[in-house]
Amino acid sequence: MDLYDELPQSELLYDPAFTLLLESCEQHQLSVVDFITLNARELSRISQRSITDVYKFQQLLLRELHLQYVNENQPHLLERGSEPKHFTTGDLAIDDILGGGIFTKNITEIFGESSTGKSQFLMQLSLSVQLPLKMGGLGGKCVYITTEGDLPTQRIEGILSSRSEFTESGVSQDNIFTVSCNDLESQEHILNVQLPVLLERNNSAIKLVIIDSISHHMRVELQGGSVKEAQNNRSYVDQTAERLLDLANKFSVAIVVANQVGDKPLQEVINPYQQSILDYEYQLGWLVGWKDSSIMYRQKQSELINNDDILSDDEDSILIESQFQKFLESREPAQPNQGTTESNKPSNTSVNSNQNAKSRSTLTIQKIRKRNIDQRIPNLGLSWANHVSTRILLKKTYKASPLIQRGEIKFYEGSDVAKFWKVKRILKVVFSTFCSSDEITFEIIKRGIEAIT
Amino acid sequence: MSWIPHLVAELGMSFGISLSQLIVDNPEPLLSGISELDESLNVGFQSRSIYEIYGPPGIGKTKFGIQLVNNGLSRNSGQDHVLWIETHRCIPWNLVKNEEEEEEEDKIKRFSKVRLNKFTQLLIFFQNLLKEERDPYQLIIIDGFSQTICDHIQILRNRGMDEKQIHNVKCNHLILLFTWMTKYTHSKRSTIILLDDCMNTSYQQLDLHSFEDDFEMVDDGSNFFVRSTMSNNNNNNNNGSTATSFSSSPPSASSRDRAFGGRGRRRNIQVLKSALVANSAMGAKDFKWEIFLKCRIGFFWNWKEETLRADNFSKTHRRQFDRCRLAIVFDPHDERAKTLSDSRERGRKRGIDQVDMQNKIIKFDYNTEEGVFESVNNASVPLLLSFKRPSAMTSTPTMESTSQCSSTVQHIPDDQATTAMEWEMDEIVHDSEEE
Repeated sequence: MDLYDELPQSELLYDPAFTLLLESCEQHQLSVVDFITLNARELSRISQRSITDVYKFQQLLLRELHLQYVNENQPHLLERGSEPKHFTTGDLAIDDILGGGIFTKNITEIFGESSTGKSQFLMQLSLSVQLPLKMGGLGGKCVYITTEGDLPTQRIEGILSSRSEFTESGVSQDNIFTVSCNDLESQEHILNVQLPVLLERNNSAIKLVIIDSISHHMRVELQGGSVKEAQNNRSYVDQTAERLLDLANKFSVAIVVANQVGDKPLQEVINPYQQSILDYEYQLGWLVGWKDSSIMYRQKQSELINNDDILSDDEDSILIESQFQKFLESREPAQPNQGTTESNKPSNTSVNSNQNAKSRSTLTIQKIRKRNIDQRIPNLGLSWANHVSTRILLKKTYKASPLIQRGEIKFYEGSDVAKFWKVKRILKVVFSTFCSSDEITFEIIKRGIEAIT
Repeated sequence: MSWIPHLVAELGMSFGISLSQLIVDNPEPLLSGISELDESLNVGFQSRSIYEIYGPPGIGKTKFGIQLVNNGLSRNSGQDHVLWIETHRCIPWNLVKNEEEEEEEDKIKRFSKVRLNKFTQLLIFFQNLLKEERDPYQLIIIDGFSQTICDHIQILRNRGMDEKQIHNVKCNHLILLFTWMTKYTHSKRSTIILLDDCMNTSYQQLDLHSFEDDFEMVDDGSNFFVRSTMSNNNNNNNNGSTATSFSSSPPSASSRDRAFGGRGRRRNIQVLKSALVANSAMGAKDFKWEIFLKCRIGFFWNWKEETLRADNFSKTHRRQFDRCRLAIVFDPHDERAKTLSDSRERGRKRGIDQVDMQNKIIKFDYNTEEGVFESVNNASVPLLLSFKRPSAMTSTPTMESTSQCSSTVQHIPDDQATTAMEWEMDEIVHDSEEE
C-alpha cells in the first residue's frame, strides 16, 4: 500500500494492530485514495478484513490526513524575503544575461561537451557565492559533489588568488564542503542522506550545492531494455530532481549541476514526411540550444528536400581556404601538401569532405562550405529538463585567427595549421524562468571565466 | 442567488452551464494579456472552469502563470484572492511585476501560496477548501500539477499495482480530483489553471494489453526513449465510420500512415503531449477526465515567419530565424467528437487525434521590455498540425507535392521579393547567426 509514500510520518505504519490489514491492502491493491473515497463496508469486502478493523483504520487515517491539512497544508500569504534570490557568477556581464545571476531554490543546469568550461564555471561559483551580500554574493558556503575524481583544488586556489575581491572578502576553500561519489549507489546515498543532514546541521549557512556531473553515473548505470525500465528510469530522474528541489526550497539553496551531452545524429530518411509542430524532433532544437540554422535544417531534413541553403556558410573556413590557396599559389611550385587545412581543424565534423589542398588550388570553390550542424543534446531527456529553471549551454567553436583575418598569411612559415584558428567560447542561456534566452562570448583565463564584451 | 452554485455542487457533477447559472452575475473574465488567445477562449479564462496549460521546458508556463496572477489580482476592482499551489518548484514571485509599491502591497495581501506535492494532499486540500468559510480564491494556479500525478502513478506501480489496471486507476483518480476541483470552481465561481509539463511519446493509442510488446528501446544511449515496434499487419480501413475491432487497429488512417510512412514502414515518431497523458499509465480512456477541462492549451515553439518551405527558402536566400511561441487551444468538448455515436470511438478520437480536431493557433511572444507575453502579428499562417495524408507524401517529393503540404500558398510581399533578389546576387549569405 502506498501509505508510506503518501503519509511517511503516519503512525499507522508501525501500529501492530494493523499489520495484517496493511498486508491485505497490499495484496488487494487498495490505495490511500480508496480509503478516502470508499466506505468501510466496501473496503472490508475488498480487503477481506473485518469491518471493525477497517473502520478503525480508516478513521485514524482520515484524521491523520486532516491533521496534515490543518497543520502543514494551509495556504498562507506570501512572505517578503521568501522569493528566490540570486548571487553573482563573478562576472557582471554574465550576471546580466542570467537576469541577475544564479538563483536559489531552483536548479540551474550547465551543459556542454568536454573542455567547454563547465567545471571552471562551477568552481568559480563555489567561490562567488561566498562573497558578502553587498558584493553580490550570498555570504554562504558551498557543497561541491563530484562524480569524476576529486575537486581540482589547485585550480580553485588559482582563481581565488588571482582575484583580490575574493581574497579580501574572506572567500576561502575552507567554505567548500567537497565529496566525491564513484557510483550511482554512493551518489544516491550522498544526495538522499548525507546532503540533507549536512544542510540541516549547517543551519542555512550553505547557499549553494554543486553536482559535477548529474548524469555521469545515471547514464552509465541506469539500464534500459524494456518500456518498464525506461519508465523507471524516467521516474528515477524525476525523483532525483524532486528531492533536489525540495532541499533547495527547504534550505533556500541554489542547485547548480553540470550535465554531459549525448549524440543526436541526423537520421537517414527513407520515406519523406513533414514534421508537425507537436513532434518532439521539431521542438527539440529549441530545448537544447541548437543554433537556428541547425534547428530549421533538421526540421526540413525529413522531407528530403535539398535544404543546404538553410545552413550558414562557414565564413571562417572559406576565408582560411581562400587565403591558404593564395598562399600556396604564391609558393608554387611547392611540394605536395602533407595536410589539409581541414584535417588540422580541431573537432572537425564539417559537412564537406576533405579535399586535397593541392588539387583544390587549381579549382575554384564549387560548394560553399557550411557550418556544422548541431547534434549534441544534454543527457537525461525531458524528464530532467522539466525540472530545470535555467539551462546554460557552454560551447567552443573555432574562428579564423587574427593572422588570417588581417590577411597576413604570408607571414605563415611553420607547418602548424592550427595557427589559422582561434578558439571562441560561447555561453548561451537556452532557457530560464528569470531571463530571456541570450548568449555571450567568454574566455577562460587565470581569474576564471570572464565575458568578452 | 448564491445557493445555485452550491446546489449544483450538491447535485454532483454538472457540465455545461445551466440557464440558472447564466443568470448569476459572472465576475470579470480573466484576461491573459495575449489578445488573440483571450479571443479564442471566448473573452479570457472563464470562471467555473479548469484549464490545462502544458508545454516543453523553457516555453514560459510559469511566467505565464505569474502574468495571470497579476491580471487576476488587478481585475474586479482589486477584490480577488489568488492562490498559487507549488508542487516541487518554488514560485518565482520576484517575477510579479511591481509597478508601484502601494499597489504591490495591496496585491500581496490577496496572494497566497501553499505547497502540496502529493496526490492525496491535493485531494484532501480541495475537499476541505470547499467546506471552509474563508474568502474564496477566484483564481487558483497549480504549478507542476502533472508531476504530482506522474509521481502518484509511479508510487502505485512501485507498490505492485497491476500494469493493466494502471491506466484505469489514473483516470479514476483524476476524475475524483477533478470532481472536487469542479465543485470548488462552481461553488466559488473560480478558475483553476493547471501548469503541466510535456513528455515525448510514440504511443499511438493502442490496446492496453499489448502495450509493452509494442515498443522497443531506442538505442541512443540514454535509455530513455522507446519506439513502437508495432507491425502494420492489419490494414483494415478504420476511418471513423467503420468502427471495427477495438484491440489492435490503429486509431485512424491518417496517423497510422504517418507512423508507418504510408507503406508498412515503421518510423519512430515521438510526439510531445501533456504529461497527464504521456506518462507510465497511457491508455485509451483519457477522454474520461479530459471533459473536466474547459480547454487544454499547448505552448510550443515555432518560427515567426513562414519560411519553412524549403523550395521557397532557397529562392529567397533570406534567413529569418525569428522564433515565437504558439498557443494551441484544444477543446475537449469539440462538436465533431460529440456527433460520434459510438462512445468508444469518441474516446479514441479525443485521446489521440487531438491534432486532427479543430483547434486554434495563436502566435505570441515575450515582450522583454514590458515583461509580458503578448500576441504577435497573427496573420493566418499555414501550420502543419494535422497528420499528412498519404497522397501528399510520395517517396520523391516534387514541387507539387510540397505545395500540397502547405495548405495555403506562400505569398511574399513585393518589397521582400526585391530584397530576395538582391540577396541572390550575393554569393556568401551573411546573417545574424554567428558562431
